[in-house]
Amino acid sequence: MGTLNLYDTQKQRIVELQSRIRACERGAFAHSTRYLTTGCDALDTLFPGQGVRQGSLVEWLGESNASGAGTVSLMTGRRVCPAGRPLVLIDTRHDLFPLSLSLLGFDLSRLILIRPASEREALWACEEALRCEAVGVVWANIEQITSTSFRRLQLAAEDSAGIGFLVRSTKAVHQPSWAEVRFKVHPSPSLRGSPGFQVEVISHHGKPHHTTADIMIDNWKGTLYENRHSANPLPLVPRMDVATTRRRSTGT
Amino acid sequence: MQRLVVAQPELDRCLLLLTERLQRGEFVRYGNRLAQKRGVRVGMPVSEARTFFRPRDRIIVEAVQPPQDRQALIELALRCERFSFRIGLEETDHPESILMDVTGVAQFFSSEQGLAEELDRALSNNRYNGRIAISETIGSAWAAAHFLAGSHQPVVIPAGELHRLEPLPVMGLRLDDSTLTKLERLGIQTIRQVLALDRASLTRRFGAEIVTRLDQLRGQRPETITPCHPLPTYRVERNLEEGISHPEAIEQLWSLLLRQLLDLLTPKCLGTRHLECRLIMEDRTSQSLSLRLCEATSDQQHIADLLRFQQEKLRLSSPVVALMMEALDVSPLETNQQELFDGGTRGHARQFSMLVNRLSSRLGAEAVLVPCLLPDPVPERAVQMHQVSDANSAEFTTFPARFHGVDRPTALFPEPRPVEVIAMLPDGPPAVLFWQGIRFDISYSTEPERIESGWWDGEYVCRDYYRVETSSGQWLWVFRRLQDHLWFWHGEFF
Repeated sequence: MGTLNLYDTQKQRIVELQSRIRACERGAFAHSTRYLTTGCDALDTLFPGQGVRQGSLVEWLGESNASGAGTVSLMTGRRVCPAGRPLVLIDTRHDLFPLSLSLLGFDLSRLILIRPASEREALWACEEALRCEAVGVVWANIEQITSTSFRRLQLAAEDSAGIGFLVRSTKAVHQPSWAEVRFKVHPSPSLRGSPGFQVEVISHHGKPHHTTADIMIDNWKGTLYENRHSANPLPLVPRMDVATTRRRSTGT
Repeated sequence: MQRLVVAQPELDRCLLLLTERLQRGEFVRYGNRLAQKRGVRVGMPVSEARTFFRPRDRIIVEAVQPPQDRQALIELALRCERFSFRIGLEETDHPESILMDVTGVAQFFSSEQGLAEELDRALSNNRYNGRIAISETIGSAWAAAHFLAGSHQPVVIPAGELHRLEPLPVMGLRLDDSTLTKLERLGIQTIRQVLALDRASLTRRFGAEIVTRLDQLRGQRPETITPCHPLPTYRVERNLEEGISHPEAIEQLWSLLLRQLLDLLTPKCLGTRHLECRLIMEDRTSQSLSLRLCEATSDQQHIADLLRFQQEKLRLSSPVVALMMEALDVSPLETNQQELFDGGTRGHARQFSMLVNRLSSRLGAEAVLVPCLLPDPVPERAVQMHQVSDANSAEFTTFPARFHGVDRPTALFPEPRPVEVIAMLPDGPPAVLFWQGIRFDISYSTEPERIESGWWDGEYVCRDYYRVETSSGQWLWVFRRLQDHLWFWHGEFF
């Protein structure tokens, strides 16, 4: 009745060994298993722990132009940043627009923008910021990261129980990564003028509940929410809405 | 003027003119009461002033001597030290006013009015004639002293009654002559009229000074008095018989000096926010290592780490023969400046300021920034970046409430990218965009948003912005320049 058979015992052992391997991979000083919600259930289910784990790195990959990886990662970063802690944004491309961040709900007085002259400096700044326990979230768009540098970033985040979001292009998909989860973000058709994105898990430590999520930005609140219409058997509905809006804007 | 009369009282019975030589000739800078009675006015050519004199008048014409006047004012200020813990001169090229911090001093003179009257008596005893005002801020006290107070009639503006200064003339704002002339041309005569104007347009048309002065008047921007008494300097230096060029030897030398410098500060519980280290080379050139910190510190290890970052970037032309280190901005360790970020534990705040110091030292202060919004509709002018060390003076404004989450793109290109556009209608939104050989088919676009700058804002901007969605779901922010109808791609939701 309540006894475990041989199969169950082996399965339990495998699970136990897997968790120990993961703990080793995360480093011997992993002292945080706190998960922070992104505020969007669909996005939460893509993380193995139903949220962003403190002391971990998350990688967001996107195509070069307007993929949405940067926007989605920034909005998620704002949401998971612990109250009262500053956000450090490392803007290697020097094109982050603080006005937009303000409209999306960022408190600019609690934000430090770093504009390094090179990717090497950006990497150094990222590691320094991740090492600082006082920083809530470190966000950086860095293209070239070697395996050793990535490991250093991961250990720094692990040590300070910080959170690091790295935004890279999809060219990095075949490069080694020490991120807990790697996402690929694709733009998807909008709904009533709200930008939509599909977030796909391409690698992870631990098993997430889902591997893709369709999300949208709420035009008014500037928050992320699940796009349930993507499963709409009548895809004409949102398109009709778009067509109507377009007619209105062109005055026909 | 008063300096001369105090030194030679008989001058009071003469026609005394102090003159200033300008490019256009010699002009009257000051005239005593008798001269003014004859009709002499400040700013009048001396030759014209002489026409007002009568044959029997005893006339004395002297050139103004700013250094002597300043020295006399300092001596007078030092004589008034019993009325204030901090006393200094107004910060102009030709100071005419003494500033005194009388916080907490009034109780020794029964009241603030009593203090002002006692000060007036003290000045009279020294044969000086002053106009005295006490108020909440330096700016308001200056305005009240010049335009409300009279001779032997001190004025006290009680707390919360700064509105009494609003009817005063704009000269009460301590503005320069060119700004005053511009205001006069526009018919703006009182402080109240200036206050009624939009801050953004004031800044654009008259510069930042006018807004600063308004804020100082109302106490919304801090203003300090630089004391007349010279402040103690914290400086150490070492001269070497032979030059050194090895980085480790140089580091050892500045480490030694740093310890000596901190030994001067630590017993007094002081720290530094600005440290300057000057290296003098054999070829008589010099190089500096300059540290600006978020908060005052006397942590030797932390300062040494930051100096090491700076030293790495140093390229010496010849061996170092002398080294001088000075703590320039010294303040008590316990009363640091306003924290960059409120909240969190003290330990976290300290860790964070150490991080910012490290980042600023290695990457340069211009790379570690705090963004502030400006009330300007033109996107590239809507944000001003402040260095973290100046973050306390940064103003955090908000954008108009009619704008929402995705009304602006998350990435704004430093320069708008020229694009080729095919539109279905001549003045309609784009249907297809081409940029560097890449084609973007547009499936949706928002209503145009007209962004136009004022003619006084420098480069004139008039654009129609569209938020467009490509057929693959990418969101771009493009505009049509209305002057020449060219299209540009300005941002994206990256």
